[in-house]
Amino acid sequence: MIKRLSRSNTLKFYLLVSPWLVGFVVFVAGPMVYSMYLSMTRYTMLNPPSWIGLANYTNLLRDARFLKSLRVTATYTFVGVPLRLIFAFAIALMLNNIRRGKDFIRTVYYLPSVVSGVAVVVLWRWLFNPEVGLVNHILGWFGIQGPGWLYDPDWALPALIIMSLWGVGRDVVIFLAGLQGIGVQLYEAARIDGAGGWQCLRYITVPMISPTIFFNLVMGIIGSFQVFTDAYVATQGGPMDATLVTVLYLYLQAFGNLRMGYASAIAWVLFVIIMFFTLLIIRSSTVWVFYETEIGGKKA
Amino acid sequence: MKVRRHAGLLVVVLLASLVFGAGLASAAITLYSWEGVDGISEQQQIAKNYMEANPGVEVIAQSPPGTSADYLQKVLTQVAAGSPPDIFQIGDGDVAPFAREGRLTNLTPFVTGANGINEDDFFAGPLEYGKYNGEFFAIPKDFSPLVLYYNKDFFDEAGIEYPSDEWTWDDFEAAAKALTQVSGNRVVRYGATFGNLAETRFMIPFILANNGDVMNPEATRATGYLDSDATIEAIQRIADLIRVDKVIPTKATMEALGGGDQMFVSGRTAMYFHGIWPMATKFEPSGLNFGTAVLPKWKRHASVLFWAGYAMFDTVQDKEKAWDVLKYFTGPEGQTIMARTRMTANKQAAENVGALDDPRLVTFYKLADYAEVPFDLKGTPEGVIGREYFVRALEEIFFTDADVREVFTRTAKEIDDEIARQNL
Repeated sequence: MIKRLSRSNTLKFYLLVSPWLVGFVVFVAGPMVYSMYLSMTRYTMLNPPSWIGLANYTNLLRDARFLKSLRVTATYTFVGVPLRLIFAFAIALMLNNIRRGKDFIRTVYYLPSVVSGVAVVVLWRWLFNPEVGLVNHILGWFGIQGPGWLYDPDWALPALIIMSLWGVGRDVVIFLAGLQGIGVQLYEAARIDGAGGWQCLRYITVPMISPTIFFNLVMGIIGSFQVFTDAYVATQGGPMDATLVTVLYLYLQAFGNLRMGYASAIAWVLFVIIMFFTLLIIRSSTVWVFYETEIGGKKA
Repeated sequence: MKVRRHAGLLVVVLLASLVFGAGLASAAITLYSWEGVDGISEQQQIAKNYMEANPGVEVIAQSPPGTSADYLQKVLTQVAAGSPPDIFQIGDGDVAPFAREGRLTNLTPFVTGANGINEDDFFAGPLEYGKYNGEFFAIPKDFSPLVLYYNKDFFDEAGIEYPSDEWTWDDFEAAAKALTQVSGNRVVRYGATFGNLAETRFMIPFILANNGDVMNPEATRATGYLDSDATIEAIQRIADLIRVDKVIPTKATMEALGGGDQMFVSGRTAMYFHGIWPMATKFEPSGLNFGTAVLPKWKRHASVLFWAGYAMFDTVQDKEKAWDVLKYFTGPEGQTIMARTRMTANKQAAENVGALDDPRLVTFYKLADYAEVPFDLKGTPEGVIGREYFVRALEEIFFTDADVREVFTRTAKEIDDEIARQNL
């Protein structure tokens, strides 16, 4: 009887998840396997792919523009993501301590994340304009002659990184949720023991919120490695490839030069790189991420 | 039981619609264009006219949904899916790669065949852009050369004669300097503006006019061309007008002033190098008193085009039938409809709409007639590499004030090294 029930439950389970399963196989796993195959072919989309083995991969290693695109993407990620986390955390702390109007201000910070990518980039092009842009205008108040930003190969990537802070609201909301989950009694106990504000932050807030930091870090790194729209709309990778992020280079190879096989190889190299860093962070998390359930586990 | 019967019916209906649909699709000639509402409605009008003249043939002109940037992606997807359109609008940069892959119908036998066309009925320049290895793979739909717009009022004020066909680059430089107006240390009016600086086709006409080039005529090698004195001098003189004389704005300044089109309309630039696109939509409605001139002469006159044509996929069943449609779209009947809003390669159509009697439009046609095919459109894989490096070299010059000779000498070597590395 029990066996029968569980079998019908199993059937129901698969029936209910089947839309997702079918979707995953047809729209994600299938194309991934196919793109793996394409990455070992020469494929223009105009003719059937022809097998060339690992030639695309060995060519990639000697492709100066590709290697440059990896450097650009790495800089964008490893400077941009920590900056965004610190920013988001600071704003979340501030919001958490506000007594009135918290909901309103939270909405204000989240609002930019809702506005679509291209419109935002166009807006930033104006903000960064060396001559009439707000950024250099404000720098001018302090007697600073602002750089050429998107027109200057040395400043275009920093400009894109600053632009990426625009989407900080999403991280703020997640941090805020984490902060509100920290029990007040922890702070009260610490205060009684004479802990100051900094000590509370260092020994209570940060450890308690470390799972949230972990989540935002992983998502930030993955998203950052895949950045495309900002560079595509703001600079098209220029000037002088200063903002040629890897996905943009992939796109240019695929639809500019009709090298679909080569572009697929780029996608797979990027996938491996993202996977590497994601796993690295996950492995490192045992050292620095604290879960309340861990204590419960030890007790039992 | 009931459900099963209905399912059976559904299958029959689906199958029938499939067979019926396929039957319909194969009878019609499909024509794809990347243009928006205005452009596609013109082409639909031409299709309608064709069908009235040729009962029994169905022509469906359409543009796939989405932006024109997605167009190539959509066409390629259809090719990969095995159902490409019969005739499609093709950009100048795509003719060679598509032809090289063997997916375009070689149109030369049709051009010279019984139902062919007379090449003398077309302006020479734009016809060349549809060729690959000397054979026709596309016939021009519309195009534009780079032209010199000038504000007549400013020339009158300064007492300078309007640019003539024999205007030289020296004349241009003198006029640009005289027409620039400075207030304090701010330039309130620039002598001239380029629609785009770090874009190959805005720079190549001036290099060609000075008897320079980016690559050799076969487009296989850059040293001896990009690093030649003639090429360096052409770009050096343009760069000097920006950096030293400050009579041409940088790209950042242009953007700050609302872009080149806006600068010309609002009188922030006296001269403007650009294609035909803003003329009917922005310059004429603004009531601006302006003229057009051919590009200033260096050692000779030169011109290049921004171009689109119609090509036919190799999968077309009835090629004679499709050719007849293609011929109609690019011939006097079809082109007369299009020539009202854009440039046509068909001389008869240009005459029909009075374009050759229009003092502004006739300049464009002069430039079209002697237009040359630039190195990156000659269909060689080396040209594709050359283009990538050349764009970056222009960016380095126009965005970082780098030394022109140093950049071009280094870039020429880099291009040839990359060609050697890729074993082309």
